[in-house]
Amino acid sequence: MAEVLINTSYSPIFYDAMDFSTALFDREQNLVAQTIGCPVHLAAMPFAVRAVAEDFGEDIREGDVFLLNDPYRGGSHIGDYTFVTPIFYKGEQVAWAATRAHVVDSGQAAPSMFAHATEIVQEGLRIPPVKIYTKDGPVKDVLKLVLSHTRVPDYLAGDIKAAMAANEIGRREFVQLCDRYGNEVVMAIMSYMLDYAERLVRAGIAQIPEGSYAAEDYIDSDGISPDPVRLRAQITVKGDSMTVDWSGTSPLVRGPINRPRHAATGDTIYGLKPLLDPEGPMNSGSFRPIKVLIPDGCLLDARWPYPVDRGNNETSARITDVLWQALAPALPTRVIGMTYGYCGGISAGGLDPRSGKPYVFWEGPPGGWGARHNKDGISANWHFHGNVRDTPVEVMEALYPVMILSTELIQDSGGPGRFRGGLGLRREYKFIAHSPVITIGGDRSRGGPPGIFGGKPGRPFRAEVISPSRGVTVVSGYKNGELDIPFKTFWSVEPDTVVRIENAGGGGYGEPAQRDPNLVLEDVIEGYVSLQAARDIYKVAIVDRGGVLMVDEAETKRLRGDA
Amino acid sequence: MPIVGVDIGGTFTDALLYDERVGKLSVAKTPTTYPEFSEGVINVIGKTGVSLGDVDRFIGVGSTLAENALIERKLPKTALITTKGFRDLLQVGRWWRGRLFDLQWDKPAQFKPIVRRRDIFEVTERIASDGRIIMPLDEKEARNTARAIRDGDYQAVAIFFINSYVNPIHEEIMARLLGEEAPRAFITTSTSLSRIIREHGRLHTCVFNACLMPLLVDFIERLTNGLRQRGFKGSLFFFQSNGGITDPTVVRKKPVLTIGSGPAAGVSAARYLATFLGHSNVITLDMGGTTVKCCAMADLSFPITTEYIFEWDMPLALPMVDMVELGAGGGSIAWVDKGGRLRVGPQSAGSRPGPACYGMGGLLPTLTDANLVLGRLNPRRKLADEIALRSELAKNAIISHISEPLGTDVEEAAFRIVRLAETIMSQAVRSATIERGIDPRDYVMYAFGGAGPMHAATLCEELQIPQVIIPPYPGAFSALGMCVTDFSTEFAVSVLYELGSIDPDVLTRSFEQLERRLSQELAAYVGKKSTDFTIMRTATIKYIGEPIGKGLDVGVPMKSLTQEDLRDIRRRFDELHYARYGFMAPEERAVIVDIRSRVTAVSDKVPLRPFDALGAGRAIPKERRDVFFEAGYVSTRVYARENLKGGTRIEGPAIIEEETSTLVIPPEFDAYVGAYGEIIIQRT
Repeated sequence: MAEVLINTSYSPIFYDAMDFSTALFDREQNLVAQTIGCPVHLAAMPFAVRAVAEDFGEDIREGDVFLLNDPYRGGSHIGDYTFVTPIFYKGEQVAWAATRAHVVDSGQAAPSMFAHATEIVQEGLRIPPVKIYTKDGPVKDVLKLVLSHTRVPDYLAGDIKAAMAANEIGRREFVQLCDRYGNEVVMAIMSYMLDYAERLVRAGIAQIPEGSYAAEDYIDSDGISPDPVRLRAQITVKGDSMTVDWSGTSPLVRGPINRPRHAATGDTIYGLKPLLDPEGPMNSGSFRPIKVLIPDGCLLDARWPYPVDRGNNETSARITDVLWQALAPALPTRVIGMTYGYCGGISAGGLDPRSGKPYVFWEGPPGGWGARHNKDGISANWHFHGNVRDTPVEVMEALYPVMILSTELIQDSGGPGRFRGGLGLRREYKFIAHSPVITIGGDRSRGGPPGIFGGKPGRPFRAEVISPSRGVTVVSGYKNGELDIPFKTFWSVEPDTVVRIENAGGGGYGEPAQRDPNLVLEDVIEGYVSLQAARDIYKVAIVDRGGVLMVDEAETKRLRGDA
Repeated sequence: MPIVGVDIGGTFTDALLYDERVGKLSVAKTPTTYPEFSEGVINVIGKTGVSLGDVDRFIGVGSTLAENALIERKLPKTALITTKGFRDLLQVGRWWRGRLFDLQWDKPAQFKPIVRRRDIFEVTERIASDGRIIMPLDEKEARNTARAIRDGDYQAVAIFFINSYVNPIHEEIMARLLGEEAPRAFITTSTSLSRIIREHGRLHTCVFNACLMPLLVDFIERLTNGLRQRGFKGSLFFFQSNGGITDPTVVRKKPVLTIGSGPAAGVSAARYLATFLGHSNVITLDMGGTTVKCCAMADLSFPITTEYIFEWDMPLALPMVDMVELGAGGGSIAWVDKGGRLRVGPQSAGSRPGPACYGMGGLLPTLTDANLVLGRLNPRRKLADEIALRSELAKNAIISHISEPLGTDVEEAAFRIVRLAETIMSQAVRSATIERGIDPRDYVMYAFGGAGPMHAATLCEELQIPQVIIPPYPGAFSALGMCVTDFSTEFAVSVLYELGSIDPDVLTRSFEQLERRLSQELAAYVGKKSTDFTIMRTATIKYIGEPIGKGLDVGVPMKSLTQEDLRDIRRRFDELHYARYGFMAPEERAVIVDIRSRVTAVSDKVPLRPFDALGAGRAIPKERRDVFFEAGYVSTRVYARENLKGGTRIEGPAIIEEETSTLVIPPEFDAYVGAYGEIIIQRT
């Protein structure tokens, strides 16, 4: 399924970025198997399949394909379109195939992404479960309606075709499996896979000492008010099961960082997965040992008309951070320093001056991952909640009136520690000879991603707009000592404006003054750490002896107070 | 005059000798010699019994040399020069991770870089996506960089600039300046190897090539000297990953072409044999100690990829024979995971310590151990005359690691290991066929490698492939491939032409321009006129919104193209799209992303000669032993392959043993020895 989607989908966000997931569900809408994809998609997908089953009941027939993106009904945010195909075998429904893919534009107020929504209607066309295909062919009226509410209908039409073909391949292969092994055997194996995933998660939970673990953390702001927004979790472990209670989390907010209940539940499960069972499959069996409690009316209980677009990103990402920080004392070799805040990145749209045609793009430049108990963090890699790729510079420049000026690691951005957090990435976009509408998203601009066990936070997120006439403006991050809220939409910028995104580095692990001085020296030679930071933060003196950098052992001892 | 082909594999170096004077083929096998690979090559030729002074042509050499150096990062000091602002492109790659939930995963480009950040230099220059020079190369800065590289004692330098695929001028100027300032360094520009859009592939191709240049140049010199000292007066050629052979002068400049060449030689051997057997659609299954490789050839043409992934997020933008490789081989380790599920691979016991039954310290059960316990492998045979297989060690390993946790007896556990490994192999075949829009039921499978012939019959049953061919010399098949392959050179250029509006003359000229250059390169060493060359043209096409750099390959006729030809190309693309992805969109605009030409010159190949006559005699088994199949142990006849005459038919269950491989004929299958010594297995 994934193979088809990569090769035929129309938007770079699908095929280059791979912001999509394909999955197989049993008759009862349990997620059974997934292909490569984004954790954030997969965890919430069963709810979307369930919404189709609820709405259509007896009216689900062979040859049907359904579409939905309604965040309140199993979707995640408006931009994620979910295509659901019931699979029939010998006249009886036996399973479901589904593809969830982020489409590049779904008709929100600004191209691809809009930072200031206060109601979901500003976030684009909300699609409840609808039938878009039957055995007689496409349901043209519905498709026309869907395609009428986007800035790039050609791309969306192509993406829909590709997603439907991906589901169709999944369906066909499933039917072949049934032909070969018999329907009952295939169903038994699906049921085994759920039990198997459950066993693995239970085994992981059983390794945690029984007790209660809590942590809280903040999102910079909701995009409307400058106030930070709190998330809090209390985890109770008993035997091989676990309860996660989100009491103490902020109530619903005006801006678009609210999260629907089912999605927050999925976020909780995928956030815990790497700590409990990093290798096994993730499916609905993984959910069974974990009870998720979400108080009514809290940030994680989004309902009409609260906007949710960025909840899929900032909030989903922060849910993971809270869970990891809570369990760090119990699982010190599994938990890592916090990952950069969010990949919110940049979206832009306008008229391409070369062709006169509209274009829309979105990209999420990555940041650093947290340091591990025995090694440094990964630099500039996509956030844990997804697994999305770049749009190659040469493709970007061929397709859009954009030039990429740099893609580089930011010195001293990795959170210092005995092991250092990964470095953040700086990427600069120049919008050539036209005035696009741009939205910039980000988080962790108030303070960088926290370290653990004495590790320091990574360098905070920061974004700048550099216009030919007005020069540099900090648009996210600290400006004259005050925090400027980190995501916003610019209605029109001057031609040849440059946007500079500087994503955060990952949090450190352990005390920086305990880092092996030779590792600090290597970091200085590679340019990851400055001489100044080596001395001030890591307490390592490095000297230049005839063009060769070396650790000054005596001075380092003195700095570290070991002398 | 004798021809020798040598394949340096990870464990063994294989040679195949064809002596025209007596019309005889023979094979030899010796352990691969690290790090002095040329020793093993000379050893193995010695073992064939031929005198090097008599050898007319020698063709080698497989991928291990280049791949091993890269995997181990045992590389000469190499610098990269790139566009200002893009120093970290090599490390940052495409931003994604190899394991979705594993927080301990290390990104290879960062934790084991091919070129370290300190060795990457930036210069001021910029080319736009349409080829315009936005910022001219700062020659003063470039010259200073060249001097810094000379002073830094770099042995090799890679030059890669953004958008150079459309205009290589800055890379060429930089190379010239480097040549002036640092004349001892080996220099590679990305555009000398590839003109494909998407920076990551060109960047890695260029960096890999630079790192390999000093190594391959050194290897070629040692090998040549070693051969000459022993009287060799013939000519030496190399195998390339594009499925053709070439001259050492090319490999000295483009050593990256040898990555993946060993497996490609196996595919080429299958292709050659298929022309004799009259098969036009062939799936190859090449299984060794650690992986299984699968390739599907429609109409006997090599499928080509220009996005081969070397390690995680390290793509190569070269035309290479497209194979699917998965981690299942004889050495793959079987284990029971925390959820109580049996797993096979991807970890492999390799050749050291190897499977438990080798008795060299390996304690974990492998696929080979399972095959031994089930009676498929002969417990009294020695591997490469050296390693005795010890059943009791295999049994113990399976009992303690698999049977006990699963609560089964040892045979049942071993049988499940084999079935699971076969499922992984069938996944490789599915990826190479069904996922590419190919129906395996229309194909014949050629199974080779040490372990391929043991599992092929079951796989074909699973995938409904009607027939399996086990070629002669399945354990040295790549070495045969070296001796039966034509010279060829292939190059891809991104053009981004819209198919509906491009002038056919422009397209023709683009191909011709490319072909002139390739023909010159070939003519320089094959000693033939370019009129003797054959040219194959391919266009990689996609619908306008589909991925750049992906797309489907459509053949282009070798003539001055007309509108009619373009319409035909378009029609074939739509049909291919339907077969591959399940839909077509004839109303949509389509774009030719890349054009590719392959120029080929015929070489003198080892001929395959059929048996004079096919008998119908019954074969005499050398023994019987109990072999475990689905229904339990069956008393099974065992044959020696060298005693089987053409025309012999053998009913399954049966085992056929030969020096480098073991063939399993399950119950309800039979085997027939064909005219060229090939064994055909099919369902009765």
